[in-house]
Amino acid sequence: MLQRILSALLLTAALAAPSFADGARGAPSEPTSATPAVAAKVDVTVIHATPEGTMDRRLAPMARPLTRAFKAYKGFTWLDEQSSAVRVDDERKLTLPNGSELAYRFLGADPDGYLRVHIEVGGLRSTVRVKDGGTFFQAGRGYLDGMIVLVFKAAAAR
Amino acid sequence: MNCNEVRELLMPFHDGELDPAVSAEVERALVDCPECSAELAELRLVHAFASDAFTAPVADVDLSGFTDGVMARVAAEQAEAATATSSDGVRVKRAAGPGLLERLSMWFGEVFRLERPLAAAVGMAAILAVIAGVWFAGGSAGAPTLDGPGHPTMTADGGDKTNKRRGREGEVAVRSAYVEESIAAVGEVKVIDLGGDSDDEALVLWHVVEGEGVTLPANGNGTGL
Repeated sequence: MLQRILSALLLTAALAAPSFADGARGAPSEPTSATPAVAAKVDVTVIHATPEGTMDRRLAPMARPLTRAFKAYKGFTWLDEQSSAVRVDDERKLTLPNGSELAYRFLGADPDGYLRVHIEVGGLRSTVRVKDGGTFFQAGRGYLDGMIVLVFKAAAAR
Repeated sequence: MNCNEVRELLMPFHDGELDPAVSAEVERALVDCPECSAELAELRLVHAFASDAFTAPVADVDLSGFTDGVMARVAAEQAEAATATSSDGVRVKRAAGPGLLERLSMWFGEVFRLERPLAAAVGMAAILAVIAGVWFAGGSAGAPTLDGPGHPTMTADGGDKTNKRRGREGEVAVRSAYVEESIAAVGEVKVIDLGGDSDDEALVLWHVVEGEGVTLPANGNGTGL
């Protein structure tokens, strides 16, 4: 009788083991911030991407993400950059080489630590949730023989 | 001497193997106990029958039908036997035992019959464990899964609202960014996420206007012009 009970328990454990293993592996802790950030440091880099060319030395720190994101482009030229501390709902503006104006605002930090950045450029309006210290690109507007690439990096100001 | 003691001594008493004193006691007890006397009488009859049988000449014994009777009994026993032991030079046919399916069925039947309450509890626990495991694992079920390096995930405006996804080798990664909303007064918008959790595979918010010489990429390679 004891043997049968043990066999039944072992069978149950064997059936349930994959579910527990999968569940345990799939639940990382979310990034949280003890206090919501009231300001963020936002770095904007303006790049001219062309099908031919080389990587500008000033863009070396972000060469890898650029080449991975824009595999059809070989030339990346640094055009401009702006780095500023932006308080919640404060707006910053930057004029782009193609005549468009970039406006961006820091909307605050979410409880999970993601920073909310709103951008408006050339008729595009978008809100992006970016990881604290994370980077995202905005690209696609034509300029000369290539296109404009905007690199945004946001980090909570402490 | 009580009756039980007398009965145990009846056989040696009949055979004259008892000590004279004990034999006298048995004899006195038999006088007082009709049942013991009757048992001794029966014992004497059996002994007489056996003596007659062992001393009777063989010719006087009726053996007709003996062989047929024995062979009939042998045939009946063979038909009745399920298994037989092997002996030298004799080939026996061993009946097949229950198959695996039948044994499993019998085992489960015994388990659930004899330990039904415990089996029910174990079964319920197993079901709850599976449900709990699926529920915990399903937290990342809505996020895209990587097939390999550079696998792009195309999303529409707004994109995937979750910030977690399962990366290579089951590793769960926190996404670098995702687009919450995106509106374009002109042109087309497309969000391309290479699927990575580091800045090396950052999200690209594409905004392409016709006539500017840039086309929306069909994949994560950022094909344009």
